[in-house]
Amino acid sequence: MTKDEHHARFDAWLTEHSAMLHHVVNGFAIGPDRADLRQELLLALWHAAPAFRGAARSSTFVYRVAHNAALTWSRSLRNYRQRIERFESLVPPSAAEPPVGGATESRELLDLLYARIHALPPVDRSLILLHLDGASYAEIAEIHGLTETNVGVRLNRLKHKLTASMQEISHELH
Amino acid sequence: MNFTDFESAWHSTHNRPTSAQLEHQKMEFIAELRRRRRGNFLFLILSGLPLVLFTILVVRHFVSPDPAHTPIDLSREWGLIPLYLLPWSGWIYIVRAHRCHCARHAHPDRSIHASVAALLDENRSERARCRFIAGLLLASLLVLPVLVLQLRAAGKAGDEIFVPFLVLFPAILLGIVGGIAVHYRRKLLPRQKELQALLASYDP
Repeated sequence: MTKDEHHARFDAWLTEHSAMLHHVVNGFAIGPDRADLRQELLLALWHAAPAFRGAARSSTFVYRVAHNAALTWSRSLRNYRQRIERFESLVPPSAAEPPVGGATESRELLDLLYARIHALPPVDRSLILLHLDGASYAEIAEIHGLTETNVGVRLNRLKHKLTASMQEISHELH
Repeated sequence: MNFTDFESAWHSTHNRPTSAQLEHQKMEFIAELRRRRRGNFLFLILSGLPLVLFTILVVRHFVSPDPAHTPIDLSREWGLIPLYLLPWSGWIYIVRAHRCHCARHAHPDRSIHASVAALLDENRSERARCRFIAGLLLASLLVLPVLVLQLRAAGKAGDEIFVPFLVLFPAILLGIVGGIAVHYRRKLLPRQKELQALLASYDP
């Protein structure tokens, strides 16, 4: 793969899957950690791009790389503070990370949803994020190396759990 | 409130970056990539240069020996061989570990479960390598007195080599072993536990 092809593929993925990457970043990290995790995801995609042979759908490939990187992400504490400070200094106010919550109802719901997702164990978090992003059970099973039945069972349980906890919060608020 | 409500909120415009943010993220990433490449290059140059210079001096000594000095006889002064090879093996180990660290995402065609299992295997090998290198460095402490004896017997050194060979060099070696021990306990062991917990969460 030539350097130009590498750049072109990476750019195309970034544009096509920007929403999914945004979801993974917000689903696995909070606050300044998001900038660090985003860099990790982008680096993982950058390194993985030449390995894509087209055998799987590009979305499946990108999901797998991004979720893999997020699940195995461990901050390097030594340089961590330095990196966060550098990212913060790079971010102009207009391009700052949008708050997940906000004034609108949709934003409030998103805020609560992300909070509930953060409370889940890492693998369950990844499963629900993939499901919300529209990945099929077969795709999720392939990405995680689980059986479709197992994915179905776990997702049903997770959906009930999420709905119940969101309803509980909603009752408390109203 | 049901799951369909979450799905519609999920797919709303609030839950995706704007094109300006996306552009900014790309720029940020390119800057980070450049910084890492520069860092890797500097790391290889700075860590390898002293060893390359040292090797050039050794090769020059054998190819065109200085007539003012007695040439090295490796059958008598074989203690120099491990002393020469140890820094190179240490450098190769560090470069390998560094490359593994940089390519830690490199299992894109495996499932995440298989990838985590592979990372755990790599962690196990890395810990074994750490123990091996630390053992090797500690063993080289035993070579040093032998080397001092050989150099003194060959008449190439006097008492002046006691301090560098029996105090300074062992202190450096012990420092490196200490560094490896810290890396082992503070990075590799916690990482092993993290990966084991992740793998266990796949069990129903």
